[in-house]
Amino acid sequence: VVEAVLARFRAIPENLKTPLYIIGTFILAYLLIEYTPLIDPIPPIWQQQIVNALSLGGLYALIAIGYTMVYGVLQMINFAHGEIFMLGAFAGLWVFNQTTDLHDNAAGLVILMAMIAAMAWSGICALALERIAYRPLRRAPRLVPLISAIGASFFLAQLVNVILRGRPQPVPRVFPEGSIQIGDAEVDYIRLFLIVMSFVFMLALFYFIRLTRTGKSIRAIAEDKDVAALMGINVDRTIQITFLLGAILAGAAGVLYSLFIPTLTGTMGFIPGLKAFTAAVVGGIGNIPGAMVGGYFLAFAETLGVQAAFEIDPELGAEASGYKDAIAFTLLVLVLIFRPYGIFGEEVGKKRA
Amino acid sequence: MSTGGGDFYDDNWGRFVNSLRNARHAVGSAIASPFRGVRPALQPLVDRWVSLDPRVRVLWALIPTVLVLLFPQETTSNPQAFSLIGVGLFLLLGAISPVTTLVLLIVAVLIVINMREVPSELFSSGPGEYPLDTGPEILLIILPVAIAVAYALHVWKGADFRMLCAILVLASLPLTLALGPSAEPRTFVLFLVAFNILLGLGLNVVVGYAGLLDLGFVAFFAIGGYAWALMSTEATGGDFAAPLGIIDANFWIITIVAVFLAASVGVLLGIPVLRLRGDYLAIVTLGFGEIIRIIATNADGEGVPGNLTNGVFGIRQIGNPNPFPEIDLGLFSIGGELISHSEAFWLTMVCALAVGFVSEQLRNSKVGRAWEAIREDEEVAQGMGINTVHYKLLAFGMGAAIGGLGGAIRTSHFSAVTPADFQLIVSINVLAIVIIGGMGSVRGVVLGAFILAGIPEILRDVTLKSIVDGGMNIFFLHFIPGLPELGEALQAGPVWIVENLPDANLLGIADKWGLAQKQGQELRLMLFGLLLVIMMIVRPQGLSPSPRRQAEVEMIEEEKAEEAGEAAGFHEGALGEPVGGDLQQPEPSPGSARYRSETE
Repeated sequence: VVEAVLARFRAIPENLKTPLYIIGTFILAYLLIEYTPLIDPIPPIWQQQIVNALSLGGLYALIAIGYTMVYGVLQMINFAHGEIFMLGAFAGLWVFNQTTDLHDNAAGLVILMAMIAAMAWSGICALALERIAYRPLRRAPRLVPLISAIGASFFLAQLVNVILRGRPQPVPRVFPEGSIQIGDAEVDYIRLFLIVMSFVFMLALFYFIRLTRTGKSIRAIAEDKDVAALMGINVDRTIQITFLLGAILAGAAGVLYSLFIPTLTGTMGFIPGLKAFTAAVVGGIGNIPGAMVGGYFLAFAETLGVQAAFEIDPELGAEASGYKDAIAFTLLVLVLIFRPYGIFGEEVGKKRA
Repeated sequence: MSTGGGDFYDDNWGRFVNSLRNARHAVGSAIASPFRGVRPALQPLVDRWVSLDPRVRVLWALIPTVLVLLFPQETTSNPQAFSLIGVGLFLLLGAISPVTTLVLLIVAVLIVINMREVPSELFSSGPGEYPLDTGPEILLIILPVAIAVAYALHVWKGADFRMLCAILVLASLPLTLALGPSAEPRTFVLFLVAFNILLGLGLNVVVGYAGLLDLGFVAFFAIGGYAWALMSTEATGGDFAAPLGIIDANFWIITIVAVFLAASVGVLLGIPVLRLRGDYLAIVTLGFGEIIRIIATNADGEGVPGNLTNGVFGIRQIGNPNPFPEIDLGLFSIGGELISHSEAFWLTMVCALAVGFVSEQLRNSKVGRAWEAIREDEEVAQGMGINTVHYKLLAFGMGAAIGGLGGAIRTSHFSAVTPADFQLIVSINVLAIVIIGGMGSVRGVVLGAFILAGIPEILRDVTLKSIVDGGMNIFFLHFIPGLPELGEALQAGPVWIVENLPDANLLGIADKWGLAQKQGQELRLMLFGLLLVIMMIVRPQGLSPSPRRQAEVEMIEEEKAEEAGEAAGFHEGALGEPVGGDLQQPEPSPGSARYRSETE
C-alpha cells in the first residue's frame, strides 16, 4: 500500500511537487495555529521544539539552496558558500551598527536595510569568488575547483577573523521582543519572522526559477551545458546569476541568523554551511525543492532527536545536545549510504548516476 | 611546458592569470641560472672554472668555506647568517650541477633549522637555556666535507653522487643531534618537518595516487593518538583513570595496535562511502573528522560512552616508553628513559622513509596503475576490469594507517592529547603540503613539508637585520685577517645601514600591522587558503609534480587551448566566452604524452 502511494506520488510532475510541499506545509501550519486542540495532546515542550525546528529548518533551507543550485549548473560543491553566508551576516551587522538611532523607532526599516545590504554584499562577494577562484578552473579536472573552493573558504573565514583581530563582534538586539502563543508554544516574534521570511524567499526563488526566462536558462544549463550554449544561452552569465541567487538567499539567511546569536565571528559560517550542505544532500543535490525539504528534515531530526533523548533520560539529553552536530553528519553518512541521491532526488539522481 | 595558454583565456582576468604564469617562468629560470646576468662579462672566467678538473674545483671551493667555518664563532653576532654564508660560498664556488645545488640547498636549510634556537617554553622537558655549542657547528664542517667526499667518490669510482650525498648527509645528522642537550631543542624543528613529511606521504597515497579528496585526515590522526594514549597512560592528574593503561608498555606493540585501529576505522568508514563520487567523499570525511573531535570532547564520563577521553581536558601524563634500545657510547647515546627530540626525529624519519619507499613501490606496481586509472577515469577503470572499490579502499586504509601512525608518534612524543589538538587545520595543513608539493609525488611531499612546516619555523627568528649584520661581521672581521682595525674602520661606514634595518621577523611585521601574535594560527590558515587557490589557478600540478600528473595537466591545457581556439572562431559575440566540451574528465588516449614512462 505504501509502495502504491509512493508510486502515485512520484508520478506527480516535478514542477507541481514543490508548490504541493509548500502548500502542504502552510496548511499544516495553519492547522497547528487555528485548531490548537489538534496539537493539544502534544506536550508543550514538543510544540516548542517544533517551532524551533521550523525556524532552524528555514535557515538551513535558505543556505542549502545555494549549494544545490551551484551544484546543479557546475557539478561542483561551492565550499565557500558558508562564508558567503557569514559575509552577509557581517554586512547586516554593519547596517545595524550604522543605524543605532533608529533601532527603537524603526526596527523594521533597519532590518529591511540590513537584509538588502547583506544580499547585495553577499552577491558581490559571490560574483567575485566565481570570477577569481572558479571560472579559470571551469574545465580543469574535478579535484582542482574543489580544492580551490576549500582554499577560498578558509581564506575568507580567516581573513575576517584576522581583520577583526579575532574578537567576536556583538550583535545589537534590534528586533522587538515579545511573543505570541500558539498552542502551548511561546513563539517569539523573531522566530515567527524567520519562519515567514524563509518561506517568502523560498517561494520567490521557486517562482523565479519556474517562471522567468533566466530561471529557464538555469534549468537548461543544469540539464546540459553544451546544448544550452548551442540554443543561444549565455552560459557564463547564467552561471553568474546562479551564484548571485544562491548568495542573495545566503545573505538574507545571514541577517536572519544574526538576529538570534549574540556574536559574529569569521568562522561562524562553517558549521551552518556544512549542515546546509547536508540538507542539500538529504534532499538530493541539484534539486532545489529537495534542498528546501532537506533543510527542514535536518532541522527536525536534530531538534526532535535531542528532545527525544531528553524524554528518555534527562542525562542522556544533556549528552545528546553535545552531540547535536554529530547527528547531522551521521545523518549525512547514512543518507549517502542508503539513498545516495537524497530522499527526494530520484529523478535528478537517475540522470546523473 | 605550454606557456602559450594566453589564447584560451580571452579576457582581462585570463591575461592576469597568464601574466602570473609567465612571471613564474621568469622567476624559475632566474633561479635556475644564477649567472645569466653576469655571464657575458664573466664568461672567460666561468669557462676556465668549469673546464677545471672537478676534483680540483671542489678542493678550491672548500678552501674559503673551511676558512669561514674555522674562524672563532664567538665574534659573529649571528651564527645563522654565518652558517648561511659558509654554505652559500660553497654553493657558489662549487656549483657543480643543478642537482647538487639543490641537495646543498636542502643541507643549508637543515643547518639553519638546526641552528635555530627554540624557546624553552615549547618543551615539556629539558633545560631552560640553550647556548649554541658544538653540535651544529661540527655539522657545518662535516657536511661540506661529506659532500666533497661523495663527489670525489663519484668522480673517481663512478658511484651515484646523489645517493652518496643523501647517505652521508643523513649519517652526519645524528652527530649533531646526539651531541649534548643543547642541540636537542633545535632538532624539534627537524622533528616537525619529518613529521609533516610522514603525514603528507600518508595523505599523498589517498589524494595523490588514488585521487580521493580526504578532508578528514585528522580523524585517523586523532584515533591513532587517542588509542596510543589510552594504552600507555601511566596516570593522569585528576580523577581520570585510563581504562586500558598498561604501565611499561612496549612502544612498538602499542603503536602497531594504534595503527591497526586507525586503519580498521578507515576501512569501516570507507566501505560505504567509497562507493560514492569524489566530492561527496570530501564532505563525508570532513564531517567524520568533526564527529571524532566532537566525540573526543563529549566522551567525558557524564553520559553515554563512559569516560573514554577525559573530555576537553584530554589525557595527560602519558607514559612515553622509548622505542630504542639503550646504547651509551659516551658522546653518543640513545634509548634513555624518555624519548628525546632527536630520537623522535629519527623515529619519524625512519617511518617516513619506509612509507615513502613503500608508496613509491606501490605506485610502480599493479596497485599503483590501478589507482592511476581510477584517478583519471573511474568508469573506464571499472570497464577495464579493475575492482575500483577494492583499490580505493586500499588507498584509503593505507592513508588512515599512516595517519594513525602519525598520531601515535605525536602522542608518544608530546605526552598529552586533547581534542584541541585535532582541529580541522591539521587536515588542511597536510592537504596543503601534498598539493603545493605536487600530488602523487614523494619528492613533492618532502618539498611541501619543508616549505610549509620548516621555513615558517626558520623565518620566525631570522630577520633582515640579523642576516646583514652577521654577513658584515664575517666580511669585515674575517676576510681581512690580521687587520681587524681596518675591518672595524671600514665597518663603521655601513653600520648605520644595519642599525636602520627593521629588526623584525615575520610575526613581528604582522604585529606592526596590528595583528596580535596569538593570531598566528588564523593568519596561517588564511595564507594556506590563499595559497591553495593560487596554486590551483597558476600551477595545479604542484611545485614538484610526478611526471604523469605533469603530463596530464599539460595535455588538458593543450586540449583546452585547441578547443578554445576552435570555439572562439565558432561562437563569436552573443555566446560570450567559448564553451568547452566535457573536459572535466579527459579521455584517455593510449600513446599520448600521459602514458610516457616514468623518468625518475
